[in-house]
Amino acid sequence: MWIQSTMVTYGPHAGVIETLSWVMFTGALLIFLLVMVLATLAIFAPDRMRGWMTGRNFIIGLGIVFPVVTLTALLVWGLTISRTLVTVENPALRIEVIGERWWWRVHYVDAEGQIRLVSANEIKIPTGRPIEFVLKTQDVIHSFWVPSLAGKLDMIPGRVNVTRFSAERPGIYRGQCAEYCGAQHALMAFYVVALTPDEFETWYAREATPPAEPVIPLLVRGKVLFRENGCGACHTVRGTSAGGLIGPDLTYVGARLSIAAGTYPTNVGTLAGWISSAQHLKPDNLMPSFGNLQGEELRAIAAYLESLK
Amino acid sequence: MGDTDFIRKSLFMVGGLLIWGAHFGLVYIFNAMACARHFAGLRYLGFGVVPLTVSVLTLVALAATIVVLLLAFWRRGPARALRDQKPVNDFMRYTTITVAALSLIAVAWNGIPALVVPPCGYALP
Amino acid sequence: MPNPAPRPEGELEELKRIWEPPKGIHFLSAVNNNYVGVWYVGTAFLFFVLAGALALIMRTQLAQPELRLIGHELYNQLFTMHGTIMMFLFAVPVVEALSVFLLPNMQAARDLPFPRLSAYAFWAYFFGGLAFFCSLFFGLAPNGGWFMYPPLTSYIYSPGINADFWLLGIGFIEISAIAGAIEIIVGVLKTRAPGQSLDKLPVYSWAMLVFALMVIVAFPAIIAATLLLELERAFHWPFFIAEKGGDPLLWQHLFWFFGHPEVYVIFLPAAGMVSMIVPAMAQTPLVGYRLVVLAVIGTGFLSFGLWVHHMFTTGLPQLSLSFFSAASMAVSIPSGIQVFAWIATIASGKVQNKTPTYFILGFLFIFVIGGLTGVMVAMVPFDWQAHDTYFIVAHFHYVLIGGMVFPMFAAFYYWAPTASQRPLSETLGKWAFWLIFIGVNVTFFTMHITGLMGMPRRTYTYIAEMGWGPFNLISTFGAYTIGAGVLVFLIDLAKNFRPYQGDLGNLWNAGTLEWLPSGNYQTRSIPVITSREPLWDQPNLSDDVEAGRYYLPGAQTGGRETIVTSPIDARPQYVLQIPGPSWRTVFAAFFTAAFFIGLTIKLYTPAFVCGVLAVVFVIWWLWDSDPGPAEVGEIEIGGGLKLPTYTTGPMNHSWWAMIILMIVAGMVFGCIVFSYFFLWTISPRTWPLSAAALPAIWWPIGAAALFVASSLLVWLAGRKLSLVPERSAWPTRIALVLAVPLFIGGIALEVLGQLETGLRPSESGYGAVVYTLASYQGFLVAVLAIMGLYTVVRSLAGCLNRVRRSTFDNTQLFWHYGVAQGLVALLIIHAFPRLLG
Repeated sequence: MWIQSTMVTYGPHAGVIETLSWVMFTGALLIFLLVMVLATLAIFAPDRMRGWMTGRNFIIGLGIVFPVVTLTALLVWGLTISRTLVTVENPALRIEVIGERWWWRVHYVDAEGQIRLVSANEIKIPTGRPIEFVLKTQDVIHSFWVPSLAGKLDMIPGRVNVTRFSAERPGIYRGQCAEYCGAQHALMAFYVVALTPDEFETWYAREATPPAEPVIPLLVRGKVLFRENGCGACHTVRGTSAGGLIGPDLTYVGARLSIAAGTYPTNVGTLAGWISSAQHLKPDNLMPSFGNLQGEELRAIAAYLESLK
Repeated sequence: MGDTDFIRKSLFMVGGLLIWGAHFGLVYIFNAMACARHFAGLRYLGFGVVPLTVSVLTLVALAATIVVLLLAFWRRGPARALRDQKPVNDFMRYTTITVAALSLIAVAWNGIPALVVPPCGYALP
Repeated sequence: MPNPAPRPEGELEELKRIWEPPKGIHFLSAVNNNYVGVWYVGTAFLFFVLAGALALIMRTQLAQPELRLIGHELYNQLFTMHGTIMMFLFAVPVVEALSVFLLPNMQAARDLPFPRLSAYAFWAYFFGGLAFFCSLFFGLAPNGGWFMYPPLTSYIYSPGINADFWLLGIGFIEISAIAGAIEIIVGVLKTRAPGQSLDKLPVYSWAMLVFALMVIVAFPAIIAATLLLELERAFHWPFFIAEKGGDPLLWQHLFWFFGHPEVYVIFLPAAGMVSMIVPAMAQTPLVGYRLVVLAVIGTGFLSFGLWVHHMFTTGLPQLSLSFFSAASMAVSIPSGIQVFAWIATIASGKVQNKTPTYFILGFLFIFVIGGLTGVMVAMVPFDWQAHDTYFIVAHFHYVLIGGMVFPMFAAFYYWAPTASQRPLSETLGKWAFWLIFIGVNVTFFTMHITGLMGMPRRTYTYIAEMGWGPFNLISTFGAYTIGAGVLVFLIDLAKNFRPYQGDLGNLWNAGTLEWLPSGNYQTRSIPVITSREPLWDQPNLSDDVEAGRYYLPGAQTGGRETIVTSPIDARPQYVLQIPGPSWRTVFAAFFTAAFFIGLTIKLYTPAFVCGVLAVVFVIWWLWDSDPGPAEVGEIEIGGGLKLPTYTTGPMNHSWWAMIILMIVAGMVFGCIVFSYFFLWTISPRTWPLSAAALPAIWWPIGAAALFVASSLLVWLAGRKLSLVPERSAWPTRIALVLAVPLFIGGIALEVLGQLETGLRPSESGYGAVVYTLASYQGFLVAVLAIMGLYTVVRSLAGCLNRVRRSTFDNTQLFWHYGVAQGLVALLIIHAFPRLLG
């Protein structure tokens, strides 16, 4: 269940912050108890037991000296943590993530900055190696956040933000937009799938090739309907005539965990439902509902998309 | 009369925090410029230009705050006006001193990060 | 004793008659702080209840995952309105309102120095606030979140007028807050009980002084920010559009330069109230008074070093963030000092088992937790996780509810007897306390966990698989418990609160002056103070005051009056003649609100008419405000002390108000100048690359010459005024009339020069900010033209001479300020690019 928790972490970046959190929670609890005990004594204790609390030294000791000492220690420790988090070694992989209303465009880029692979709403990464995330936005401010791996960083128009972090073990981690970005901010999530380096290389090589041509009649029909209904104006399926850039790339959409940016699991049913009533399932998102399609047509398109894996 | 006198005395009273504010603004602007205009990588006498400048500014600010504190303590300079042993003068003098002491902590804390943290972020690809 | 008792026959009756509020419907034209203060608090509390109701709708929607009770459209408007109303229409107004009510009482002044200004501030807020709230019923409420980040809120992504409601509505309500702050600063500094020197000033007065100064410095940033965003929305001046050399982060800097101090703006007055209530409840003076004052002053300053604290995840340079982390540590020291000072005070006395005590202890409990989580989020790495999650929602509700709402309820229960004939109920009060206290902790403590489990804020729904459902359900349950507590309080209020029918007297045996016996004229005579808790340390004080043995027992000028004192040691300086009830302020406020609302809903002609009417009513109201010396000349307030009834120059209360207004104008200007340099740092490519791209040098030189010439004329007008009173007033009038076109000519030259280069405000961030500097200067010129002509009219009406010259002095001060600002602007616009090139 806790695939989006700051306190159940699977990477060194989030792990260090988790440690910091536990230390601060413990410290805060102790200080809180101290203040409450003192307040209780101040109210209820017999006079002789609270005489020491009535002078200026009490205020200076607990209100000035004590915080100065503890906070200096905390400040220095916190700064040291900051330093380790922003001086990660050179990355093994660079991924550009672009915030859109209300989904995520994902580019795998090579050392020269050329786009090698395009995906959406799901990021596959190899474990154990730092990944560099280059964060941009297409429209308004978004914030890129995968709590179980690292803290968040905003995507701001006109600016490029860069962060590096890694996942320790293979697994599925959920991320979500953390900066309010309009109507469907609530349903703008994504998955990070960490694979072993070998698995990642295999996936990466296969993902770079176009999907196989459908042979089953239903899927063939789905592909035709996909084209005839103009889906390609907004979406790309590599190796086909669909080359639209407005919406998410659908080249291997069937292999992804979710559709509609982390909102629904990927299967024929949700895909069909999404195509026919996207405006009902995620109101005001930028994809129109294709309510004109017959059930059989929907099933064909959905099955075709689901087969892209 | 009496009223403009208040402005002078009260500005002296919060002198420590005014110095803190000036220091805070200067180090922030300097670092922002160093990163925006890409000169944070410069080095001088073996130190990075940002930590060096911030440290120098911090020492200057600490010294200035201590001067305010001592002037108030010895009733010199602007604190001459507080020489009368009236309770209100005592109060203003005490406040000048404690404000300066609080500022010393704040300025010192402000100086620490430059010694630990790198000035800017990752270079853009 | 300065005055012998018994007092002459009829003196008290006359005092009563003079301070009597108008009857019937005209009661609404009252301006005295006792009446306006109660309406003001009531209206602010109404907004608290309304915004709380909005929160309950949101909590209901979130009670279950994937609930479809309300859609995202309404939800997004609800959280925007909840935050906006709580911050701008409740928190700031209620602390100003309480001080309008309390401050004069606490300082034994008969009223605030500018009663009509506070009435104006109240009515403007009342009309504007209600109109703003009603936008919700038309689906036009803003939906960009209470901090309204562009580009989401700019014309491209928010084309409707929802965002304009926020910008115009809030910008305007901030003006009312600033009006209140000016009143409070002058009130604290100038209208105190004689002898109430700085070291004997109640902590609450200190807190309000620092509060008001913070408002003066911080609120102009939000006024400048809303101005820029409205210009971008209305005229497409690209301050925040990256492609055109703007930057969305400019908004965040300006907003949070206001927004972070805002938290302390809300907290300080509440802490000030706590520092008054704790000693009374424990029946012992506050321990560490001087340290607490230090804490109040320290908070005031240090809170300005925290604004980037809200921008830790924007990718600013790591070191820049760390400076703010360090300052956040520093600001927790003053809070620590105050908390332990209150505990020490409780320890040195015997605290009474009464409702105010409960709310104070509840405050301590909740606020300490909020403070501790505040230290956590000040740590940059922790904030990277916690930022914009429910952890933050929990944190700031702990700080604001703990730091402000609990002290407010304590204040209601504590000070109600000064306004009402009956105290509020102890039984209902304790019920309200326990419900609210438990409700707050159930709701918001749980939210810490929800946030750490990864739930972002401002989401109208969440999927069931995330496991956040049970936590949200608990929070919803808690929220309704708070609602029940507030309901109990409202019942208590309805049953027991009876204002305007006399008060109960010193119910708690408190030590400060607001507990002196009082009538509509406040205190019968104005006491001389020798202690911080005069009612404890000065025997018989109440009786002597009530018998009229102290200063100013009557109304010798025949009108409302109070003593003005010096700011450090509170020596009496003069007797201020205070204006009485008037409808003009009410109408001025109504038309000001109508002007802004008209602009928002794009009814430009009616808006313009209302704007003109607002100016007319303001001028009409001001007409009485410079009465000159009273006919009786100097008056004896008692003990042989003779005071003038009129002064000018740095002793005068309106001189102080003008100085503060200049600081406000200067801060707005400073924020625009900051925008200029900020945008230059971000995108130097849009700046003129050589002198050739700038207007020829003689344009600014001409403008500067005209500015200076206008200033000289105004100075000359003053000289002619002061030298020989018998001589004709025409030289003064002519000089003033001539100064106006010169000033206008100067700003016209600047604009023409820019236009001639082909620069247009909508083409780049540079163009936008250059024309904004000119427009702001133009606005000042327009205001000064009205002030200049108003002064001429005063002269023609025989209301201006060598002695009665406050109006002229204030115009002159502001004029010179305006010219100085214009010269600085010219220097920046024309010299800075040349220096670069």
